[in-house]
Amino acid sequence: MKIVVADDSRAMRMIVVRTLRQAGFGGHEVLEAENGREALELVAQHAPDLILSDWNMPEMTGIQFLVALRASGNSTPFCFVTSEGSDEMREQAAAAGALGLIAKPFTSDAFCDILSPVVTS
Amino acid sequence: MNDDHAQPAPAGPPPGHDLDQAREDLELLLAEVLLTVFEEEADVLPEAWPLDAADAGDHAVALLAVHDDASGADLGVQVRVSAALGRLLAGRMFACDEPTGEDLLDAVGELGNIVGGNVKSLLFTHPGHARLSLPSAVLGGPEASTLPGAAAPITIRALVLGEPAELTLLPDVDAGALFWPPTVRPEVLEAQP
Repeated sequence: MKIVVADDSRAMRMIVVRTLRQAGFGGHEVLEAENGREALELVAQHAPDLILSDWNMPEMTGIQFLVALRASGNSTPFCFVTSEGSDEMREQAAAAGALGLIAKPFTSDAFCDILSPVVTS
Repeated sequence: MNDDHAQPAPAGPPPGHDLDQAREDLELLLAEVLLTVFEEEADVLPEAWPLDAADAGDHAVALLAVHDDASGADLGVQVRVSAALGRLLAGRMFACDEPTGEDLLDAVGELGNIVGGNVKSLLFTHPGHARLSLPSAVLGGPEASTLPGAAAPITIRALVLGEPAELTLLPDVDAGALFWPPTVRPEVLEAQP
């Protein structure tokens, strides 16, 4: 599988990749982006199987990224990994077509719970 | 900050005005974030904990703000850790023994982002009208970084791995120097071909 990880923090991208491994989802090809716009370009170039994205990013936020993606007809499974986990944001994420929202700080269990249906071990 | 895209907002609970009432929740929030990030219990310290102990030596500071569209006010969020704790954090986040200064700032910025996001979720419960800035991190003494204009800040202090970490909320700051994510609403993008 190809997985796009979008976050403006290099540390958080590393943590997300590490947590994927800890959740039993290691061994996949990971492509990293620093914001939604870069991620959108990566998706167009590489057709990933899963997208994990922060919400608050410069240039293009995660929700803008998701909306643009769906508007283009792309239905790649998309999950937010973000520091804000309010009900309102979860509703907004779901309405825009996200698989779910994992709030930071997180554990590998949260990754398992949400990603198991779409990621192969 | 730029409010070009701000929508009319109903009057919500004014953030920053009841911070003392939220102290207990903020203590819990800080302790939980530190526990998850460091995988170590953090001891939240009493208010009277001597400032000098926290202020000695260099610190790494992450600054953010939450903008409330209803009031137009910015609540500053400052997360300060000792440089030693910052290096430890960076080492863990980057899985390396000797993190660079850039690693340290990225790690502390992300810690601030996690705390800031949770602060926003805790205090800004009115839907749709608050935004979190991007984190800005600096390394330096206690004078190195703060946001101007704060009135009646509230500080939560904790010790984790024997090192100080503190969260300060600064009501009514001037957050213009911080970086903000774009504020174009999703429906605007959706309407585009």
